[in-house]
Amino acid sequence: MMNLKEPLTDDLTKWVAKEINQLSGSTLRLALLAIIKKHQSTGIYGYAIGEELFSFTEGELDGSKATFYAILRRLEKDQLVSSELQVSPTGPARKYYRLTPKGERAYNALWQNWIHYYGILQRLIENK
Amino acid sequence: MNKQLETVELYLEKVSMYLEPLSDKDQIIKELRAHIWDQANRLSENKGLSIQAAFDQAILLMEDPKTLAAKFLEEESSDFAAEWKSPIQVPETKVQNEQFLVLAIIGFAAVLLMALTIQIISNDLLVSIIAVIIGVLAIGMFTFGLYLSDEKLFQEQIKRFRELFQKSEISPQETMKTSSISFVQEKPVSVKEAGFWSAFGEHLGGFLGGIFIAFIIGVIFVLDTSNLLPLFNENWYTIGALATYVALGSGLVYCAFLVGFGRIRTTRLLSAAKNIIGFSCAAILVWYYPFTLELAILAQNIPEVMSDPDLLLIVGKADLFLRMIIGISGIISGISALYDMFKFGAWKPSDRKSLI
Repeated sequence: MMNLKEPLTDDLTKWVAKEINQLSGSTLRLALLAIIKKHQSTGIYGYAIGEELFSFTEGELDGSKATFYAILRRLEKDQLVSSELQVSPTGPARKYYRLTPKGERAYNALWQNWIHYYGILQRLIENK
Repeated sequence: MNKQLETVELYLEKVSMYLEPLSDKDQIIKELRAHIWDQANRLSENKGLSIQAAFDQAILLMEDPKTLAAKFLEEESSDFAAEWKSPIQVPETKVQNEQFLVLAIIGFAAVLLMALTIQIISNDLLVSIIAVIIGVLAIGMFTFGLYLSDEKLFQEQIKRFRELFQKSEISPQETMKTSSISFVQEKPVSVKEAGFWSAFGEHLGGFLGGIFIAFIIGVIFVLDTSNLLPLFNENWYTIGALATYVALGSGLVYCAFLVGFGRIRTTRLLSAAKNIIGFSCAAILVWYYPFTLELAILAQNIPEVMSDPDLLLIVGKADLFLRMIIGISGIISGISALYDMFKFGAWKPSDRKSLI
């Protein structure tokens, strides 16, 4: 989300875009872990993750374009999530995701760190 | 095929084409297919669209195939970069440097042992000195090569390939063919760290071959020094010295190349060439070398042997057995050459996966 009063120069736009890209990437990872954690008991399949991503973030993180599957694959390779195929009533089999114990620990650690650093920045910026 | 399915499959085919470097692309495509179906069903339910319109709309909502594939490749590249080590450090899987180094030293030591054996038998000091110098040089260069970091070069190539991919209007396969990247296929990263023995098993062929040769050398050495059998005549000295020089020489060239250039594809090819030489030497020995093992044994006129028809029968086939042993070692070299050339995609562009 870029909402700036003054137009940015090309170089600055690039720099900001790169930073935002990194930030949104990290946010997306945490958001995916959070959504999967919410459905830990039943597991959740890709499309449903995309829908939650869209609705809970009011469209800021869009799951409809399916790019988040790349991150899901990454998380699975890192053994943070596990998956199993289940028959779908409407089409091809769906892959249901759950957090692994390692994933739960990673999620908790990541979230705690987000809160921690957010707090630091808030104190720093608001008490200037 | 229904028209709506055609649209979906056409889209997935494009994504699949760009995902070519990934070994699990079929799984990815299956999941994307399920996503599109779910999307289309939801659109049909919520907006009352026809099946065809719902699928069309679902495809429109999807990311451009190339961009979507790039996301997967991007995630893969971070993984590959983290896992990658130079070919000398990790031969295709997670064999530890130390394991590889130990194997290398055992191999060179075996050749040195052969040279020393020949020196002891033949009293030819020159063979021994040259063998030791070359062997020590080779081990030194090999060890040095193990600690050479090629990470920077790798990162540059990753970057270059990614840029090529992003800018290219041609297919990824074409990009792979035209790019000059010389990194070899990395196996899909196993979720589980390879254990010592499973990793060791990757090199079992070479290891067993080495042990086998060392065993034969040991047996010959013991037999000869205990004066049981005078196995080494002049032919054996010459051929033995020649084999030692060739083996050490090719090993040295291989190591020098690793240290000097350190590229996977070329070093793999060189390793293949080395093994082809080994295979060819063994084949020549099997077909042309005038073995005299039977005669050497019979010349001893050992009463136990001469009086036992069964033992005489075995002695009569001694040269055949020797040919078979050399043949087996030649076959091992041949298989190793094929392994170098094809198993790890020394030159097959289609095998050079996980490049980015």
